Amino acid sequence: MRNKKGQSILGFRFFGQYRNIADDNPSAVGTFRASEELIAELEANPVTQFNGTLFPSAEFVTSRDNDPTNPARVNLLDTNPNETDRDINLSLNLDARLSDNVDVSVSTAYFDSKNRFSPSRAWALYNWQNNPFSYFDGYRASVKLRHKLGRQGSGEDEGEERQDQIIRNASYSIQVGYEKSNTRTEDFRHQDNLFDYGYFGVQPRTWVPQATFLTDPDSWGGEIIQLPNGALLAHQGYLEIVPEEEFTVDPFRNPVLGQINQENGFLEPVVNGAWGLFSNVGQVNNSFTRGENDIITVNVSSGFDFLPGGSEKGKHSIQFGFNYEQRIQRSYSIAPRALWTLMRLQANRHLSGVDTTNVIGTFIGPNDTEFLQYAPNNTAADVDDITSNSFIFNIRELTGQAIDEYVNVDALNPDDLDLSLFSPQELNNFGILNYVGYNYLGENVGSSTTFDDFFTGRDADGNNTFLVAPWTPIYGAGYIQDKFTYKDIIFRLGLRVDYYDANSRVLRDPFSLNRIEDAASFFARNLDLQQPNSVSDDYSVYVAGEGSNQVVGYRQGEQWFRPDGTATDGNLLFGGGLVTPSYVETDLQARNPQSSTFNVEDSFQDYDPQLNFMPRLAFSFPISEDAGFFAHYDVLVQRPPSNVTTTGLDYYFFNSGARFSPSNNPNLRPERTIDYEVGFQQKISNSSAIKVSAYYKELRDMIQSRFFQFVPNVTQYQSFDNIDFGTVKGFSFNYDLRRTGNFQLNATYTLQFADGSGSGANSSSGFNPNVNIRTLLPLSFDERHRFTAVADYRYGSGKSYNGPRIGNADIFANAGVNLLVTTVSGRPYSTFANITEPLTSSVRENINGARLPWVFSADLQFDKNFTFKLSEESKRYLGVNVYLRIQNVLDRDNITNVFSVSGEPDSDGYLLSSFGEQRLQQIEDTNLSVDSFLSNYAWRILSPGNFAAPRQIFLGTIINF
Amino acid sequence: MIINNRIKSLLASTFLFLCVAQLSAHINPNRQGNKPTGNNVEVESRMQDCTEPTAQVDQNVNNVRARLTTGGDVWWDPQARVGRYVVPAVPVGSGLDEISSIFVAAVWLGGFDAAGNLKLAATDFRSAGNTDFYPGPLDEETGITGMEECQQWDRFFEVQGTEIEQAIRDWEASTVDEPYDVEDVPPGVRFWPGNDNPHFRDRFPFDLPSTAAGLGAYWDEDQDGIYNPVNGDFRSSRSEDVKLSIVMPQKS
Repeated sequence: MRNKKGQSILGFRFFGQYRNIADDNPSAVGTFRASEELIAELEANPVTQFNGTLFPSAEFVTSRDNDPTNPARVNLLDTNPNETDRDINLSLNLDARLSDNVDVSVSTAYFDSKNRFSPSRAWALYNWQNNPFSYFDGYRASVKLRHKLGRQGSGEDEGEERQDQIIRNASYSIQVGYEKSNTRTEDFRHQDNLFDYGYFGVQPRTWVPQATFLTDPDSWGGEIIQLPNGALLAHQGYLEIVPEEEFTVDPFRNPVLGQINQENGFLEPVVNGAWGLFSNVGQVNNSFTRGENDIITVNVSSGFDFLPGGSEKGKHSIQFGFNYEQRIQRSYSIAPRALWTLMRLQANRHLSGVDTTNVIGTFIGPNDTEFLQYAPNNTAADVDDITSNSFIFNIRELTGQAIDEYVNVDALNPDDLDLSLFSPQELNNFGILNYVGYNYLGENVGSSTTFDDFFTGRDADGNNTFLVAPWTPIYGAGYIQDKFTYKDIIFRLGLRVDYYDANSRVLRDPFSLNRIEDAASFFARNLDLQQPNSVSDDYSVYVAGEGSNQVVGYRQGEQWFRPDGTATDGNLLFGGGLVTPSYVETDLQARNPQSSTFNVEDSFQDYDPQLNFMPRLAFSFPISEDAGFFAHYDVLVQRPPSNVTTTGLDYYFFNSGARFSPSNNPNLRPERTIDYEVGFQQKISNSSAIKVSAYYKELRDMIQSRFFQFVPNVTQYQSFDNIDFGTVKGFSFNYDLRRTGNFQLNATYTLQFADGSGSGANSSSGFNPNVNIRTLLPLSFDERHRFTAVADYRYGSGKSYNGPRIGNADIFANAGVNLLVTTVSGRPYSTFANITEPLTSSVRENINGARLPWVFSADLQFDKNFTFKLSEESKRYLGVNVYLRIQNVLDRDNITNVFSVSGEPDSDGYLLSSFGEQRLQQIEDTNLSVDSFLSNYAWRILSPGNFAAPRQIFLGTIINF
Repeated sequence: MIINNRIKSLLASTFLFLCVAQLSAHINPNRQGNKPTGNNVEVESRMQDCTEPTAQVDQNVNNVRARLTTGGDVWWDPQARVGRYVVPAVPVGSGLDEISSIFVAAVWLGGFDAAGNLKLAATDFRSAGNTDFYPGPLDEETGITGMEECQQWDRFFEVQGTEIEQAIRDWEASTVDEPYDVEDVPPGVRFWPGNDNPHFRDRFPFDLPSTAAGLGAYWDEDQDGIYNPVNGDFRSSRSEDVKLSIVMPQKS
């Protein structure tokens, strides 16, 4: 839309993309998959009786090379079947010019992704037909206002009277944005029908009254019958009868699993795998997850030119602004298969023995004698944590049974069941669930829920509601930059201040869930003891035992001290022995996070928001007309990129080491990079130049897995901390040839040394807990040499066309070819000494002590533009760009990873190891199929992840109008 | 009247760890570090009413330093998952390697209840925090317990042999005119969880249940069925350092 002056005042831009990729991660070396015929054959008989024992039928599958016409076989495919990735992206931007100086933009976008994936390589061979789905969808919207203030432009072509203005080109913009996204992962058949995941069929089950020998007749309050032989009998309980032969497989939900697992919710390990290499057929992906993310952003930026004295020469271009970002993250995950196991455990837990005050009939017992039958003894009223919302009550409401009747959960229809049958405690204690920002049922709890609510929230019956607050970190930043020229030197000075607040509660002391008494308080309480001079008041005090005042050591931060105040090592202080601090909270239950009286304030404190100042300095100046020098110094701070989300639910299980460790650490600080670079540019000819630069980066406070040791109750736990550091230094040489004729070239060589104490947050996971690596070792992305060249050959159109013609047709007008060549020296990897199982190595020999081979790849693209006039009257054109892109044009099998024992990308060395030889001998001795093992092993060992992507050809077109 | 013979047949209401049968084992590598959040977790949790026991204590006897727990397993550190039956018991802080000659041992109790159902309480490697034994006594009438009891009893009661000997000497020295003052009773003896100990509440924030099954064993000098050290009652072993926990099998 245009105004009277013909200026555009309202415009729009629409973008739409639909992408459907049959395999979003193709393999350079192919991929093995069982054919549909073979899977059908195995699903019909998933187990095979052999020498009186059931084995998975997959352990009898061989390559069947001697029967090539048999369609029931394993094939090597070029692409992974059932791994389609479908993406839809739509965006609409509206730009409005409200006046000459005010613009408003509204941007909206919608995205929707549906990705089918294989959970693992062990899953894929026999279960690719069962691949689950993951979904990602959402939208974002933003409004941006841009306002130019006062005079714009340099003023040279305007009136003299304004030349003396010292502030020019002032403007500001305000952008407010909101983004909402949702994720979901689910089994392709069962989706959110959680009780279907572990349902195999109906198992009848009865509880039969039993008259048995009475061992203590004096304390027995019920009927006693003496048999002719003098024995005293009574009805003392119910015998559970489970006729396994009457198990009925559900033909619809999990018919294959039902054939080999006759207990709902339980997979018998022996028959659900194949040689420990693959999952047997018919599997269900035992995971249902979903999540929500909300992001609110506000960006304000402003800038102006400051001209002291109105002179262009001393101009300062100043920019400043701030950003604010609030995130609200929620996630929910459950491994639903075992819900049936939990139901069986819970259903009749309150029934114990019989209630001799409640006669419900008679039954015929031993010796054809009639006995009084008592109802099962209901202890529910006596158990203080069984509440009205627990499973035993809810399930009986569903079945219509009385509280003192046995319930057979394996006869229930999964369609009738839902998670609210359980209490929050029942489901959480069982350990198949984790959630943030939801309640235990996966219902959104709202942003007002706090960390403390998890421990203090109670329902109407006074029971813990287990509400977990969403993760709501806050980010903020303010910056100012000045660009100016002093004499011939161009300066860019800036300062950015970043603010990060995890906005959650963190442990007061990572070495103890409960607050430890400091020396000042301890010695004030124990006046008969003398505080050593070298022991500061803030030292944490450790004692010989609970309630003891015998000091065994102190700690300040991570430094340990002997009772006399001299520094020592924690190992020397405690060895592997017990660690008992002098606690501030003396009530044992108030120290227990699972207790209703847990002292939350004693354990946690608010995260200390981080403020980081990042100075930036860059300058450049010409040495001569054809050469220049440049340098910069930047400090970059990055919010903790991972391993921070930790909730009350995590800490609830702090004292249960197996459930808490490893855990995230919400108290992580941002990571910091300090970047230096100096360089030199030299013109070689009118169209070419070289650039030489050297750079040095210092990495600090990088996140790494570590153990916190000598922690009371749990001895140690694994978490994360800002302990890694490293340096990246290098030299870069660049040659740039601007388009000369039809040809353009840019080539770069980089020499780099990247060393550090760890390559990623989990790179030291599995190392000795006592050792944090403090030396510089090659990082996993350390590339000594990298050479990149981009060459482009292109024809123009019209008068500038100089290519071949057919007749009068400029056949290559606006067409070109682009070649990208990259060659890189091998990255480092760690080697191990032994391989004990296929793909399982042990005994580390080094950390990144070996090198992968060089990588060479070449990508080629041809493209041509066509322009069509939409109509004779219209000034608008339709632009069409057609391209053919070939990645890895030489189809090289570039090796990106190798097996850590063999050093080979295609063999882990297991069969040559003594373990492999023993395994083969064992299989042979038991008359099982060595051929099947070797075939399955060969199918499993093929690792597409060890190779870069194969040659991929993309033919596409882009239309502009 | 409600009777629960099943519990009676299974229950060792007080259990002194010095008496456990040894069961040496090594951890199942497939279950080590098992975190119950992902796929393929085959854990049958029996943890229902109670939370995982946490208390540990080292018992030093002769040249052995042996770890005791309140979860039915002994001689290991269940959180660090390392053996803690250290022999020889090198001094803590010496820097010498502590060699554990046993990895772990645990109580396995099994049997048929009065109706013939097979029941088993067996702790293995506390995979995913599971154990079949929890601290504290069962209610004698109902045969059940609750989370609060488990948490209250997740502790050890320790008494030194020297404390017992001193208590006996002091009590014998007391007279009618100057009875044994409870303030003079050594803490290990004074707060011993003997039946109905009237001083127990002075240290611990919960009451001792009055149970015929008994709790901490003691010599009942005045035969009144009540443990009261000022009346000459004392932990029945004179010269041992004793560490006692009271545990029960999971009721299921």
